[in-house]
Amino acid sequence: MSSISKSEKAYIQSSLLSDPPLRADGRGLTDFRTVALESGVAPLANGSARVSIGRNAYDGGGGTEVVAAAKLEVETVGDGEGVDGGRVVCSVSCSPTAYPLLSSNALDDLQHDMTSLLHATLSHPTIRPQNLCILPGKKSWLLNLDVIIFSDAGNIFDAIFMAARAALWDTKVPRTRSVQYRAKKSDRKDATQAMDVDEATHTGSALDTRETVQVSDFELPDYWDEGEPLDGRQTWPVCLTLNLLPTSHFLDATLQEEASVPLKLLVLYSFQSDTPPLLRSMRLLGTGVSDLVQVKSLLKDGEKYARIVWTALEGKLKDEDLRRNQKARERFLNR
Amino acid sequence: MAQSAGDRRRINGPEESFSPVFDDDEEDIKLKTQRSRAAGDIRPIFLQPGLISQANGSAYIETDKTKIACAVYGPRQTKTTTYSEKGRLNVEVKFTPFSCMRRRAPIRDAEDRSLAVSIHQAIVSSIRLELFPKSTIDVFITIIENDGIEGCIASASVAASTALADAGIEMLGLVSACSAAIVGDDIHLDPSEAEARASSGTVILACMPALDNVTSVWQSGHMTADMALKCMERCHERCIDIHSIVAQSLLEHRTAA
Amino acid sequence: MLSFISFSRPTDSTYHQSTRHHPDVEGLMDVDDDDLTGSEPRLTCPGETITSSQAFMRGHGTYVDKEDVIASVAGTVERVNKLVTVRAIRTRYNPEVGDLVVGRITEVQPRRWKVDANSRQDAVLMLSSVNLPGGVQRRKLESDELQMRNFFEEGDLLVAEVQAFFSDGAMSLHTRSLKYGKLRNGQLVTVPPILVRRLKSHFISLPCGVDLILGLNGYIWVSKHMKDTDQGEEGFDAEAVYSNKNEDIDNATRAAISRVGNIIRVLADHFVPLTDSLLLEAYEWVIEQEGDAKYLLLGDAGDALVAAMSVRG
Repeated sequence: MSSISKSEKAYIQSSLLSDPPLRADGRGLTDFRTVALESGVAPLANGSARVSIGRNAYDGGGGTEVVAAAKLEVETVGDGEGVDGGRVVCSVSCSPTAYPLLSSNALDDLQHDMTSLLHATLSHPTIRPQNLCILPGKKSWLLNLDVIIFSDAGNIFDAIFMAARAALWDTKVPRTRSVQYRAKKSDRKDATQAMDVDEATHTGSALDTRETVQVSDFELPDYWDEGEPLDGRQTWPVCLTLNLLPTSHFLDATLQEEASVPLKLLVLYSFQSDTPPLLRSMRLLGTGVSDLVQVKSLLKDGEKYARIVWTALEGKLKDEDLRRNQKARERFLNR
Repeated sequence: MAQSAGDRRRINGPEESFSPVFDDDEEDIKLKTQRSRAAGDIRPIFLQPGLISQANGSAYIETDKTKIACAVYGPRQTKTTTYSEKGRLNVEVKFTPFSCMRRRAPIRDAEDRSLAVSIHQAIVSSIRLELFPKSTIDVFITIIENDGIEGCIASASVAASTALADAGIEMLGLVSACSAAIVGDDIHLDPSEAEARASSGTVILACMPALDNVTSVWQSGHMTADMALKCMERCHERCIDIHSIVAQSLLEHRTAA
Repeated sequence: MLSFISFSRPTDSTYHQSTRHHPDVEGLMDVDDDDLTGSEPRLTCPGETITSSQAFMRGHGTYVDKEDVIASVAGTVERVNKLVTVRAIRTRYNPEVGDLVVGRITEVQPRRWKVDANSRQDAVLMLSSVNLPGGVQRRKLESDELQMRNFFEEGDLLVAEVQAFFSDGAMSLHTRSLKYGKLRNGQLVTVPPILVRRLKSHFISLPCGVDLILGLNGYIWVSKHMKDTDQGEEGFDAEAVYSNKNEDIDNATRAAISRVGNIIRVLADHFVPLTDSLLLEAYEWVIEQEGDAKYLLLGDAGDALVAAMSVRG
């Protein structure tokens, strides 16, 4: 239901501005609908998560539904777009079921806009995980983060970034071992445990460079687990959409509420114990106007709410880790 | 190599040798980011309205290396049959193939759209679209030379607003925009491409200085909220200066015509 | 402010070995026993043979192949004398003349509006089927054609009656009554159309100052109570009827509207058919629990409401 009538819009606006403010479903201005989250939903991906905001408790219908999955690929540095130290590429695709009223062109534009925000935020060089490097200067991991929107019942950006954070939290990078072949010494495979073997020193130490053929590659050792989590997985930000009214703001808007506010502010924060909260992205969207004083107070409030979302999400992600480890152990015992 | 005296039949090289010293990349960036102006200054702006005669309104803007042309067509009848109570604003951005270090193939790519979206956001709330039911305003922006995406977005927003004013379209106020980058601990306004690459975060602010409100904020990279606010305040100050340039150029163009 | 939950999943290992009904159907079986006399409602699937075509007549939702009447939709089998029909559980609204519907304008066309009424085709509202300002019986003029958007424009909600069908099956609506017209002062709730049964009146006033319009197409309008306009035909005020402005609504009424809206959502999620008495009882039950409007959305409150209703019913 993309269009709403003027009187519905006026009713929603006046309810939000009344004292005390009231929303169509009785929530307070800063209340979220129930958020369901599960990680590890795609077994073929290196990390994945599913998030649903506002599903009804009985049959699970009628909410915003998003699935995010991360897949790793090996890339040769210098070939095409490969970058030393690895890179992150994000995409958002909207399933037509989420927006049945949009034409395919409008759908393309919409998913492109969502992709550009996700990509600009998560693949910024300042947030790149350290362990995407396999062989310095030669091979690195390309992390593809793909988000699929199955249905949109409002507040889609928060859902996308929650799913993205959960999927990246869940991502395991396979362990690698550098391998060197030395022609001289009877083709012995010299496997070194450390990943960051400095190939250059070996070259220098070899007495006769002409006779040593130096080919470097890596192998995947057989391990009991799928690998180690991404470095700095705490730093992935959470998104908070503040829907702006002339005198106040509210969170987690439904589609009807989104249609009746002219302006929203997206803020993306990441919190770490050792540094002050960092703003990862900020966007003003819509046809309304704001001013510096309002933005200032919104940033302050946004930080407060974002911290609550952050803490709740972190708790849930740790629970999920625990649950899945337990499941893995049970499966191991029952096999 | 045991010969101590060396071979006298040949011309001998020097006893000692050193490998040549190249400028390494880090220094290179430092050189490039060295600004000829103070951190709070922006690049000089050349702004000329009414350059494209067949358009309803147009503007050309040049800030140092960045060169952008903008044309406005409309308001004209929307081609689709669906009714809309308010007018529509359509922004399209095109890079010339020679605008960047790497050649850009002359096909629509992903960056065009994200630039168009951010310019749209900057100017849409300044236009009185409620006066133009069923019609569309087309804004076409050509980036002839590009020195930093942030600067491009800001300059293109200014040019678009100037072109809209040149086209005689009713607006609430002129939009001006400015960008800032955090390099180290300093805030550099209007960063060039090299500066933006070396920075940890950037902010683009668009506002209507005459009405003292903000139409768009785009922040990326990472920074604290205080730093972001400081950037926005600095940008806002510069926007007021840019606003007077835009107003002056429009007035000059009117008196010349 | 927010809390995370898990997706509910069956945990016992016998779950996949037992036969169950879909929750929707189970809900239907619990409460839906008014139509078929005596026995349990029989469920069927497309392609399933229901009966012989010689003894029975085929109705909606069935087709005849050779000697058999075969279902073409999944749903409950209903029989009236010799006529066998299958009523689909989830389907678009099937209009009939005289039905009350709530619709939304999608398009303004020459001398007519297109209305989305959750049916297979957009409904049509002719300019000649609405009350025009300046006397109900006035004929339409060319000037009316030029200002159709002053009456209804895209996105507007209205309540109307199905007047007739065009040859292509599209329904024609009319609003030539003071009860019908543009909707204001409230919010829309949508439910599956099968849950709204034909009642004596589809205009329900709850004692909490809330009016309900149960559209047979599954669109339900929940709004502030309006005083009955009993001035008759003369009292028609075009300004008020076609206004987009809401009246002043106090907070208690707003809260009541939210609460009623949530009750309808919960009942619809549990697939409970809506009647005036049920809604009234449900509202009283919620008041007894002393919950605020969002109370129903939390945890088991919704299940408790449905359980309480099925006991009373």
